[in-house]
Amino acid sequence: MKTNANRLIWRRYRSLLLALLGLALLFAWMNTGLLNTNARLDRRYNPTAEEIRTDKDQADLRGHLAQTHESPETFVANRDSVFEPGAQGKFEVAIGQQGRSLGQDIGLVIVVSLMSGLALVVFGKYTHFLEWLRGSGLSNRKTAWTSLTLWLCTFNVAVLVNQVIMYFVLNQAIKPDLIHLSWQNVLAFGLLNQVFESVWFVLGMLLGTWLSRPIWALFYGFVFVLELNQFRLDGGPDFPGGLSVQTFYSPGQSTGLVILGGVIVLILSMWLYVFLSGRVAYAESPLTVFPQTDYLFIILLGGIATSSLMRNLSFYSWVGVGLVIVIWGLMLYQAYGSRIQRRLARQ
Amino acid sequence: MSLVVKSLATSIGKQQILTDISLTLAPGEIVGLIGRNGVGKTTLFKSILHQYLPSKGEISIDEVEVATDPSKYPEVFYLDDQNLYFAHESIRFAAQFASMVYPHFDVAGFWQLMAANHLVAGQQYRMLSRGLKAYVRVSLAVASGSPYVLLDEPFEGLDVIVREQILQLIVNEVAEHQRSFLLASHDLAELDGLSDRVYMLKAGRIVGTYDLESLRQHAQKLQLVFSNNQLPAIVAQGQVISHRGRVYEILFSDYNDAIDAALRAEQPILMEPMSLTLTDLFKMNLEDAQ
Amino acid sequence: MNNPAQGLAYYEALVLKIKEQILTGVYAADDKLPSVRELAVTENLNPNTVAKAYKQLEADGVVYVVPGKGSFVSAPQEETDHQVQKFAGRFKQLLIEAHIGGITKTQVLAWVAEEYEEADK
Repeated sequence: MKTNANRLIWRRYRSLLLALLGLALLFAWMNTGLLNTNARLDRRYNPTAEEIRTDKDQADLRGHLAQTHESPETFVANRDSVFEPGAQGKFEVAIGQQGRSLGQDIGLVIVVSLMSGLALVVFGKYTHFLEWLRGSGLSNRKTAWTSLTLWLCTFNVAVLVNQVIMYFVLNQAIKPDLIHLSWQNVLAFGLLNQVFESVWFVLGMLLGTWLSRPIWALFYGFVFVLELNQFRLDGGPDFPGGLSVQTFYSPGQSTGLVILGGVIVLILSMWLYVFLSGRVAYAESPLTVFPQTDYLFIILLGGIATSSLMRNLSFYSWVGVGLVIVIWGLMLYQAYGSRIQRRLARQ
Repeated sequence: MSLVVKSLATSIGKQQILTDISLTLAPGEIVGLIGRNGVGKTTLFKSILHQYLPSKGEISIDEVEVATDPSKYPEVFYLDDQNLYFAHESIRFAAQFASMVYPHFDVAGFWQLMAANHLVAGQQYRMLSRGLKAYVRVSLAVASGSPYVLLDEPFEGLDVIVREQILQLIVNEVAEHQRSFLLASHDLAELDGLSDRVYMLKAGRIVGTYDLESLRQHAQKLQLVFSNNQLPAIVAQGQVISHRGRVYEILFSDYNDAIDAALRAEQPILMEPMSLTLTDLFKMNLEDAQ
Repeated sequence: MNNPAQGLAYYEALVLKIKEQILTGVYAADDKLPSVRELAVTENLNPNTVAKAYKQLEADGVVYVVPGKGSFVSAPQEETDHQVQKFAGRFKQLLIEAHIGGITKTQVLAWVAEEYEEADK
């Protein structure tokens, strides 16, 4: 009997993977709720010419237009011409502003994707399961590959389920004039989400593999991904202002190329995970599992903390500044705390 | 058909923990791995199982190098009791996963062993006493059927009853099924009669291997007192293990009639044969390095 | 006499111990000796050591093995001519050594008496 990698890893991770699917359903439910509100809300800020004339909500705008001697039609034409010409032609996205997501808080999606991948690896390290697998008869490559495919497949199923539910609900629940879901449209968003969320997922796995102390790795991952989303600590999260899929790219002519690029990045990340995972030694190390790369981690974290500090300062968010300093302190403690303690004990 | 480790070296970070370790474990043996705390016994075990990655050396199980064919690994049973994969789980969990890895895992036998100490499947491992934890781990080793078993400090801090149970299990497996055990310990008294051979680990190297029974047959440890308290030349053929006042304990590794006659010619006040124990060998090695 | 087992290999010491136990009546003829496993655990010895001791005992004619059952104590050996010859040389050698070493006849006889007395108890 040769050790069955799939069975072993599935048995250990069963509850977590099912939780992931559950999370997807939860998000689907949450998002469809949000969508409805957003759609209606956005319509208020993006009225048609007819609505400008008649809606009581648009009274302010009517007044404004009267002063500038603009007709509602001209106004709407100007507004809609601001956006990328090709976009409207192929993908008739019609909720809110062009470039906004189909309602999903994409920044949040990145957080969840990255943290999912991170959490799965961290769980394996924390329970010493991945370490134990070394003596189970499976080659390092097989273990890494099996865990990668098993987790990534489950994740993609979760994402797919989430998306299907959302689009389905959208289609059924929201008036067709508010949203135009053509199949090219849905396919583009769907693939974009699948590919890029998978990329963040595998990056999370890589991060979890690279950082040494499992629980600290969760902490660092969260800090890292919040910072990417330019989290502000004084008010609400500024998710849409951050690095989200559709804020830097909206579906247009080159969607195919972008998806292809994403797939390439995904494959490279997957290969990197399998490569690195087999070379990890499960020994104690303070910062990263490959001590030669410790400096990289320090630079990365330094950069994140600095940019966060500057941004929070610029918003006069003192709570934010305070928190950044606390995080700096925690990081230094995690890296050097034991060494300092030892030196003190020797004296 | 054995477990063979050749020229193994492992470093953790910048520290070289193990250097040039070679050892063999043949079927039906009980071999001791002796060394002080922190010398690298656990590191060695974890390097064999590839949990730590050795920088040099080869490990082969039944003449197959694990680097090329890791599927042989289930022939070696080892649990790192500080980093257990079932530390926060139930005994049932431990057994289920073990049975997925060890092809000949004896499920019925395992639960019989558990019943002997009134342990049930749903019991949480972390709630057990130290002795029962050790018992569970050794029972897993026994049930696994792996021909080579590595045990790290198997008797440490155990009460007499569970200690004897574990001893019985080990002896049984060796006598009935020709399995071999590599026991790492810093407790020499425990391993003294039990091991066929020992490896002595010091500063990350194997500083001595001793085949104890054959050593006891050729060697002789003597308690000697000389009248003028001056050691005669013949003593140079042996090694002084210890001395207190005028009483010397000296080991002659190749004791023969000539040495015997030469000693008697010096008319010692006291000349008593003593049993050679592991402690003697250990002390000898300590002094060697100093 | 002091502990005669000092300085011997453990299996030799075990052989001696069992022989002594037989002489002093701990084991009677046809009694079953403990199994290799049992004895290994009680004496804290390697089972291979115990197995070797049992083999030696069998070679010395002290025990006989019933396959599948274990080792049993043989009937006490008779002082045949064969046995006398076997031990004569060794005794002679030891007596010469003792004599030359200054051991008196009284001392030797005392040792002899001690041994046979203990056995007869």
